[in-house]
Amino acid sequence: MVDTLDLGSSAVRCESSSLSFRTKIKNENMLVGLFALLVFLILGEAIQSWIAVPVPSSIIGMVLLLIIITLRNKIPTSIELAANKLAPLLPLFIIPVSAGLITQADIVQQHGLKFLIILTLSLIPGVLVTALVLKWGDNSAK
Amino acid sequence: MLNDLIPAELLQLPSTWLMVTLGAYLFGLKLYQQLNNAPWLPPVLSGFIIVTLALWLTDTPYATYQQGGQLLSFFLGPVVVGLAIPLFHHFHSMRKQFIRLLLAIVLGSLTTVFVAVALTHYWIGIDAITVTMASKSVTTPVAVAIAEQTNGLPALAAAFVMVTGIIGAAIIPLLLKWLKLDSPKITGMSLGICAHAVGTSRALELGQEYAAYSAMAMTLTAALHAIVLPWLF
Repeated sequence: MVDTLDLGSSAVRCESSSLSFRTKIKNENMLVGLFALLVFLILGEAIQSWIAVPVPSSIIGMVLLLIIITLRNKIPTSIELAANKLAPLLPLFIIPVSAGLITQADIVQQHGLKFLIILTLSLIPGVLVTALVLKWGDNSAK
Repeated sequence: MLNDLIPAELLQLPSTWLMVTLGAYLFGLKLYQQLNNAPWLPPVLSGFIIVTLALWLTDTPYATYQQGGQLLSFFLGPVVVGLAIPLFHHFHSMRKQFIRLLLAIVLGSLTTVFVAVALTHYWIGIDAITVTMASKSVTTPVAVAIAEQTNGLPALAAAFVMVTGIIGAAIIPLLLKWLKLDSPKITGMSLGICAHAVGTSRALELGQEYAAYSAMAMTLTAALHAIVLPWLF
């Protein structure tokens, strides 16, 4: 697994000055990163079925990756490249899931207004508690 | 009504719906840029509206749509794994005040979630909805993962998250200003804790320091909730 991650950084080292070549390396590098992200996702899946924790498999994969990064104290270039390419596309990835709301149309019709009120009201205590903890912390630090 | 114009086979093709989703997203993105990044119309909302309208007008079952759509939603998994990278950066930059920030995140985010869950439980009283409400304050890919894990309704979770984000981004800075508690740390953290990614993009408009706090709070809240909430429901 660690070898896979190293593939990425060594590919960067042999970067050439030719622009098209560099783009090619970058694309390959991104695929290495995507591959690594998938490896961690599948590892998360495997761990979830082995020890039956209720935590989502993608989060287990994330924690594993975080542990590896923290131990090495360095983020593999390939993984960072892939994550940075994927993150801005998040809204696109979410649209198909949210379109599933069409199957819950009657729930929304029946409770939509209540949802709006609950979501708005519940923000206020959350913000207040956050502000108070930070305020209290600041004062006691002085 | 549109069914008469479009050959039925086309509406069964995964690539048709992949094209529709991509087109809806690109249109939503264009619209968002035209409106100077209006927080009330993020591309995910306009894209959602267009796709849902298309499904409704063509009378296409969601399951048929998902054969194309899942090609995109599949990427939510790798995106969540990739959150380890900002998390690592935040651990580094916030080391000194970490305990205090963590306390604010734990107490603040659990407060808003428990208030929402309690209100839903007593007011609506449908278990699947109550469980879904629990994931309302975390960024969508994580909320969807939590909803799937806890047998909630992923699509409803995505909707709750979107609405929370839009309302939160609009009212949190105003509320804190009104209470004279406005500061990069407090406003940034509140936006990240209560309004996740939409709040963070609002924080980015307020300033870099706001955004740094907000992004950290958002990522930590998501990780914390994903690990803690499934045990409670």
